[in-house]
Amino acid sequence: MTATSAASSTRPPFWRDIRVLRIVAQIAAVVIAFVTARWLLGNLTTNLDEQGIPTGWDFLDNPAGFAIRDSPFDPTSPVRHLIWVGIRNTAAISIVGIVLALFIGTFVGIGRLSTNWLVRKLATLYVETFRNIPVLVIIIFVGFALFTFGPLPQFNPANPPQLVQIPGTDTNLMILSSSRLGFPSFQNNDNGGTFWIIMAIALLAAIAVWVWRTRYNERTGEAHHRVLWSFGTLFIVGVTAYIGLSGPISISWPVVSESGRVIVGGIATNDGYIAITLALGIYTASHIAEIIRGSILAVPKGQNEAANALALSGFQRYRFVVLPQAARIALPPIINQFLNLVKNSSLATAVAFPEITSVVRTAIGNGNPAPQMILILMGCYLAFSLFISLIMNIVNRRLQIEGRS
Amino acid sequence: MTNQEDTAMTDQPDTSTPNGDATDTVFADATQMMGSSGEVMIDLEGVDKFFGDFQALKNIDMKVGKQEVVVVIGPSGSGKSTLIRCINRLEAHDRGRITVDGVELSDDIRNIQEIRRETGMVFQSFNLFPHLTVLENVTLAPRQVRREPKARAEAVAMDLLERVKIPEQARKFPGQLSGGQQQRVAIARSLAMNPKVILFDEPTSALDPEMIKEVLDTMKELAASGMTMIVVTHEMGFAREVADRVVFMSDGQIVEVGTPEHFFENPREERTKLFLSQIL
Amino acid sequence: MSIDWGYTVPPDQGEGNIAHALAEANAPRHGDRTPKEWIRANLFNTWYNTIITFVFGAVALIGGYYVLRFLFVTAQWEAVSDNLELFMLGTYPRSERTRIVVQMLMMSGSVGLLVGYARARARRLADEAGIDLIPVTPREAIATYGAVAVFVGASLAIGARTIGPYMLVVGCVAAGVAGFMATRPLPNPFAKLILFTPFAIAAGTLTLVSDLNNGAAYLIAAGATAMLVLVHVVRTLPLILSAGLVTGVVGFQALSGTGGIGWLFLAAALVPVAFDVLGRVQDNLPPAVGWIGVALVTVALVRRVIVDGIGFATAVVFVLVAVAVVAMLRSNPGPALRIGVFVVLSFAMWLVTGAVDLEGIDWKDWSGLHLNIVVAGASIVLAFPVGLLLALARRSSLPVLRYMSTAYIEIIRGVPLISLLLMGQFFIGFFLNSDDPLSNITRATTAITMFSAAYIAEIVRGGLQSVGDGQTEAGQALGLSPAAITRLLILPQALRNVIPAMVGQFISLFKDTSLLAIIGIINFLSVREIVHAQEAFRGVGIAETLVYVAFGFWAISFTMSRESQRLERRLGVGVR
Repeated sequence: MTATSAASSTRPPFWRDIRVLRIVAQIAAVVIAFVTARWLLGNLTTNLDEQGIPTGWDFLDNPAGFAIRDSPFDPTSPVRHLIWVGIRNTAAISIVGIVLALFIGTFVGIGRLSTNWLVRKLATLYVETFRNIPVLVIIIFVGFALFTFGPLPQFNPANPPQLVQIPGTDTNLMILSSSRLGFPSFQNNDNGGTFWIIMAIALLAAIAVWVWRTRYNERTGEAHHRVLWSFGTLFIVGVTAYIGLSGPISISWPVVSESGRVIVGGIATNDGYIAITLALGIYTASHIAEIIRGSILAVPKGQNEAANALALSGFQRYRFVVLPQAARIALPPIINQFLNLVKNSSLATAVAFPEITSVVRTAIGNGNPAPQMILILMGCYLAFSLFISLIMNIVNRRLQIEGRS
Repeated sequence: MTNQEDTAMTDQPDTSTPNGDATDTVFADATQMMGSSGEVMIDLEGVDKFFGDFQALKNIDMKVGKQEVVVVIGPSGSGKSTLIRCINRLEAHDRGRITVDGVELSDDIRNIQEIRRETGMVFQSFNLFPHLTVLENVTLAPRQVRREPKARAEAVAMDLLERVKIPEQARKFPGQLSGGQQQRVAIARSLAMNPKVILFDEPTSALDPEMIKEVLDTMKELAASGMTMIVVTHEMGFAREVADRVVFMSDGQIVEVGTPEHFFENPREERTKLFLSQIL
Repeated sequence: MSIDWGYTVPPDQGEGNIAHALAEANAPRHGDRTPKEWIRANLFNTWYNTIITFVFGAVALIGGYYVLRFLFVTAQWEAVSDNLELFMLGTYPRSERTRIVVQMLMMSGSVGLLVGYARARARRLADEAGIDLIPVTPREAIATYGAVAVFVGASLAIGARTIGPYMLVVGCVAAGVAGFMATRPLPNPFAKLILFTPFAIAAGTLTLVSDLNNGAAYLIAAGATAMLVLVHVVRTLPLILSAGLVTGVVGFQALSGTGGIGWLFLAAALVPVAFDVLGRVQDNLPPAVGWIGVALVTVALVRRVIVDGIGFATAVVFVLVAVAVVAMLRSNPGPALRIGVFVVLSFAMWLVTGAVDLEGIDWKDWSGLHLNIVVAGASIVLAFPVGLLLALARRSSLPVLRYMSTAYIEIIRGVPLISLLLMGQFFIGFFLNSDDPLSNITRATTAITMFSAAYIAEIVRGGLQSVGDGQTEAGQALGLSPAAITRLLILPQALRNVIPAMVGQFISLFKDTSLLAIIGIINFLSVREIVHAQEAFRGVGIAETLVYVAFGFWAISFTMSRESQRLERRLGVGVR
């Protein structure tokens, strides 16, 4: 019931007037909240002062005083740099973890609906197992399994890692061990920056070509071959730029160092990273599998019947009828799972990987003030969630435009 | 919109016919009552209601007398539901004055509560409370609002359930009843508060045809017992038999008012004729 | 007939899917097939399915072989069996084992009584409405509770060296069954003997398992039996409810002691039966009785304050008295009498607990699986009212309330639990003025409660949205006040709709209690650290303890999720 300004001939007394009461109630709520907040914060600052903990933000510029494993981070760098490293690591876990979870989860989710009894039961086993075990237990388990039981050797001079080499040469394609993986990476030579800029432009061009070919197909009905055209564009520009700039980038191959303890060159990941990413991927995949299964089930049966009546093949039915509708339903919960994955990455402290939460804990342990550090920590995760929620809102709005709400 | 345009209309009800019977009575506006004891129960003066930019009620002037049965008809979107929802403050009117039994409807919560106690409402979708039994549905308001003791409230409730002819359903849940039975429970629920006027918002529109009769019979009995009623409905048979006055609304305005005889035999306005031709 | 999906496809979810349709089209009817035909249909019906079956089958067989070999042959389960008590109870002082026994017996009895209450109430409503109750089938019970039974059984099989743990498990089951049976009419007189079995078993358990001397053991057992007999004889619904709640609270207090605000919970537990009695005599009582009650309590209160000074307890009672006075001044005899009765009850319980004055074991000594369960339970009980208020505020028509509650909910939901736990560990204590530092567990529970409240608020909000507008309008049309509408009409329906989601939240919460390991609280997960710090198990049995802990969490969570599905099926509701 809403109260608007009715022109009544008598004004009710203010203690019975709805509009007045509403405003008074809100003012009272604000006042109570304000007073409580002031009391709490007052206590906080008093107690902090008593403990000798600084309440300002100056500590951010102090040297960190400790090193981060497997990272070029320097103990004399300021604390704010430290935080940046932590954020980067969290992002690294999240991105790879999400891709892994989507991959595994899609397979398992579709497997749950398979006509093959064995596949169905195995997929169900997967989901019911990992959904009911706490993430932390899974992380410890994966870490333990990898480090102790892994079929791969430890990484030290006595146990050299497994080298996967390009046949006939001495170059390492991959270096495998239970504590480190090494992969080749790109390395910028002269004009490396220019090359990447050109490639970025090429990417835009490829997208434009894709759109153009799609329109062409709509206009004339001929096959668009848009994949061929776009990737072809990218390829041609890339090769031309590479030759024209005389080798702006090269591949850096991973090599075991002299001491036999480190990987030099290429990209190396450390053991904690593998453990946490794998564990999070496995755990989140079980939730995503359920979501995918539910979304396919939620597509009304009549859609299959209609597709069959139109003589669409099985694949076409999936591609044009079922999956688009299922995706619409599945997308918001899946994005929610991504958010959960980012939040769960905070448990990497159990495998000693320095993402933002571990970094903050170590920093606090090294004398930085706890309240501010934890505030920064929460702020980082809030930023992540806001970002992901924003994406979700955009996606939702786009989906609603395409269909009926 | 009413008496300015049609100069042929008189201010007094024209009840004369060659036979001396009252057949075709048309009113100048909605402020004249019919078939009542003469006292005004509900008074609307210059009522406007806006939903954003859209004006749902335009300058409504209407009086309803005690024991009068007024039936409001009109096409969808004409504002008839909004009209009666403004009377018990489910919607708040923006301009004008609404008075119910002498109490003015304003921002004063005491007035609002008093008016709500004295008016009953029967909804199109029944709105019974699914987690309470039928008996509890009927006794809830008297016990909570009028503070009646449980025994007395239940006795009154059983009487009312007998009056609407479903006493055996007292301990069942609304989900177990048919639509017609549920609506009769809703009527009993309103009656339990001993209201002075009952508002009906399309009470039979959500019912299957075979159940409409039982609800209409209940409403007829109610009218015959002297209850003041404002009924928004499409049931023309009911209007013909029971109404003291029929009010036709369109586009937020009261277009024509008359006795049932006038309305269905001899409507004046074009809009009225168009509407009736579509539904009769 | 459709293929037996079992629990994987809840019956009323979705209208079908492609694979299902394909499967139905490809496979002949379930009941008509011989095993050979079934295998052909389900495993080998197309060429790629055949390949898949072979590949996955091989993987499954090999994997299964290794797993089983590990579990039954090569694993050294001593790491678990020698430390079973550590896992279950953590570092709880051994000398106080009696309390644990009493608590578990009381809690089991409480669960039995409360389940019996739910059943009896449902039966009464169904009888009056003329519908039938769906009986619980053994198959349903096994499917739902099987996992936890296996866990308990396995734990016993691995680690129970003496008869004590067996007796405890048997005693708890007996207490639960007796509690349930007490709520039913038992026409067969021999069946009534069931009520006395807790007496025997409990007495036996207490004497064997704990250090309690025989006299006290028999006394406790006799008291419990007397209560069961009372419940059985009288068997009114409010009495059953109160009996169940009181047993639970007393059981909890056997462990935590009678200090603190235990009296408040005891008074709340007695409310159902007290209000029922009040309701029967209410119409014959003059309002003056309420005034007299308030006056008496105020006098006693003032005397107490003069003697002991003002404390938290006295402050709470003051507030209650003030509320009662205000209610009575508004000439609403009904609520005033109820508040008055509650005040009297609280005061009486306060005196009782003061007289009994049992010293408790502080939270900070609780650990092991016991701690996980207690923290999860306490958290959800405490977080529920907060979440409810937050949800109502978020739906309020007052913008200020909406913004404040939305801000809280969104911030808490955007950060991981570990950050709140760290906040709790490092500086929640600083927000309060007291000199007494809060214990580790109190801080952690506060953080977890804050966390759950936001999620519960979202669940309740979903439930509130699921109740249509028409209900509010009907209440308004009848003249009910907004508070009455929310309390009597909206909330009952909303909460009933979200029961499955709430159970899901409890499961999440239980799993999240494993995070206490990170901040150094010894719970089921981090007992391993203590185990492997011992000489005998340094580096030995690491996998075994991990598997055991994982299995324990899994069994409890799985059982709860099955229970939630069972509830969903029976209630026919489910708003996600």
